[in-house]
Amino acid sequence: MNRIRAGVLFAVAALALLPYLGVPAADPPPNQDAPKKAEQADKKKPDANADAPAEKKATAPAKAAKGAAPAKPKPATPPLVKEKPNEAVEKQFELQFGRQFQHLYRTELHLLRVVCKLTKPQYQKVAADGEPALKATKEKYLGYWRNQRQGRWDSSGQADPRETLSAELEKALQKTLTPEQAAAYKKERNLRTAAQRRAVVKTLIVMMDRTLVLSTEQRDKIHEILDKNWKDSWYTHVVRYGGNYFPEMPPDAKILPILNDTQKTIWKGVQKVNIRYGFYGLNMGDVGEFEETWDDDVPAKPEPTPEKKAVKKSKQPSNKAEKK
Amino acid sequence: MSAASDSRWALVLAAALWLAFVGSAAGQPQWTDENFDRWVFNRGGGPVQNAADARKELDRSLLLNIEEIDRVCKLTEAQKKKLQLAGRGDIKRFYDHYEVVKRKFHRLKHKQQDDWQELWNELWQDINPLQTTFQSGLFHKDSLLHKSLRHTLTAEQLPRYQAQAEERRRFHHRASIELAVNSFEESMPLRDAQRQELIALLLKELKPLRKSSQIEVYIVTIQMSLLPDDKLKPVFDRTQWKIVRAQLDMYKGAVQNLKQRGLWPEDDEDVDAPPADAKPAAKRENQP
Repeated sequence: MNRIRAGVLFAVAALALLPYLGVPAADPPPNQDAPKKAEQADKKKPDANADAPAEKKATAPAKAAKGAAPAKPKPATPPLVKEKPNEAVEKQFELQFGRQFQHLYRTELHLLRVVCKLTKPQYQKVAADGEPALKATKEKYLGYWRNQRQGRWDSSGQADPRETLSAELEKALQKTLTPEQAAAYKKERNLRTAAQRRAVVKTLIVMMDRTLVLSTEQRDKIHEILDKNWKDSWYTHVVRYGGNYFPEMPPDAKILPILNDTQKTIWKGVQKVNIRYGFYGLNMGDVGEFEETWDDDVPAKPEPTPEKKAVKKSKQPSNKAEKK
Repeated sequence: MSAASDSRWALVLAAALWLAFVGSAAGQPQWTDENFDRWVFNRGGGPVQNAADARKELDRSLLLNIEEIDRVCKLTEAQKKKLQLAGRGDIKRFYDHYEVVKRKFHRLKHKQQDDWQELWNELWQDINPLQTTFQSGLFHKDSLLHKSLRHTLTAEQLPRYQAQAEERRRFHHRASIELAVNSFEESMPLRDAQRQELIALLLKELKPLRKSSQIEVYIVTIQMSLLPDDKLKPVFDRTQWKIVRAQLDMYKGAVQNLKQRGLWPEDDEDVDAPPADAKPAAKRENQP
């Protein structure tokens, strides 16, 4: 009995610890070009096409057929998924996370509605035209999930799912939104990114402060360093593991000069981990049904009595007058 | 938010993993002192593996804290010694607690039990607070070091230190609120104006923690869930509010657990405030 219980515990614990098993033993060497490399890595991040269904991919050679010699298709870097998408895995993903992605989509549409001042019919069109964005976002995370199930963990730092979705929405709605609406949405997205960045930089400073007991001047200088050496992967890292583990930080050559001797000794010994990420769902707990509320959705009041009806009728303007 | 609790669970599960691994081999867990130290001190892959490593880290942390006070207050040697003594008292208090739990561990380790999981649960009740204390840091507002400041610093030094400590506390508090709001937006995105309004509201309404904690963001969200609707609701529109309320309701149940762990910021008396019997500067022995 104990053995069975131990086995179950082992399995659960192993599952929970898998991301940590990918942590390298030593710190990466200081690298002045880290931000540039991070940018390059971001560009190499798998896009939705890497996981596109087979039939979509099949259209590529047809387009190339016009040329004399079809160019060799460029291999995706890194090759995320070579095999044909497995329907069963997709179904399982949908079953497990579909509701969360739907929530992500509906709530983002709500933001769009408010920011772009959409009417109900406009909103309905936006919701329909934005579906490919939801699909592309899901495919991206399905890719992470599938890879993780095959023991291939993402070390580039997964993008924020909402940011991924909103970028896809921007593309999908190019023809749907007016330039003013698109600009308003873009502005909100940028403000959100800036707010995330501010929060993450501050959290990293707090983590450093807990470890090094920084002075106000040191905190200000570190703020500047972190801001200049920003890495997109920090957001995911801090939101998921904030307070516990330092991500790959700016090189020591930039940080050490502003620390005193005791702080330097401690900072050199602090482990900065390059966590490899799996996908365990969106950070939103148990989501209920999302319902967009409109003014005309207000339930009709109970039918007034005939007497009240008569009084009301005399007071109300006719429909024609309303239209005018 | 959930990230912090995830990692905590990972530590718990790490322990369970070890137990399961060893236990499954012999049918009975083989607990060692190394296991015990890792449960208490290790932060999931960090360099601190045992009591000796932890001791070095705590000594360095004490040194840093005193250096910081010195930077702000320009301490005399006598003052430094007094603060060192108080800080060492905190470290001793922690290790006394550690020894008590370790003795219990030794007792249970040798006990022949069929159900080692039950045994583990009993032990975990003692290890968990020890682990939380170590991870939060010893030199918080309730520490001997902190309390001794009132009797060690002069009337000129104390306000300077208080201002510095308050500024740090505000910075940490603001950071955890901003991160909590951003994390919350994963389930309900906000316009920037709403985001700023919510941050301002939380800064005004929520109390900073007495002890630094790795789950500060989580605690902020729980505090937010307890705010009265009439304060919170005006920030959101009708559609958002339904989602926000439902999401926040999920956090309400965690308060008791945080209270038990001493992490809930209630009855926050101001320990930085000078005592009523504070001596005037001229009468102090330890003038800088």
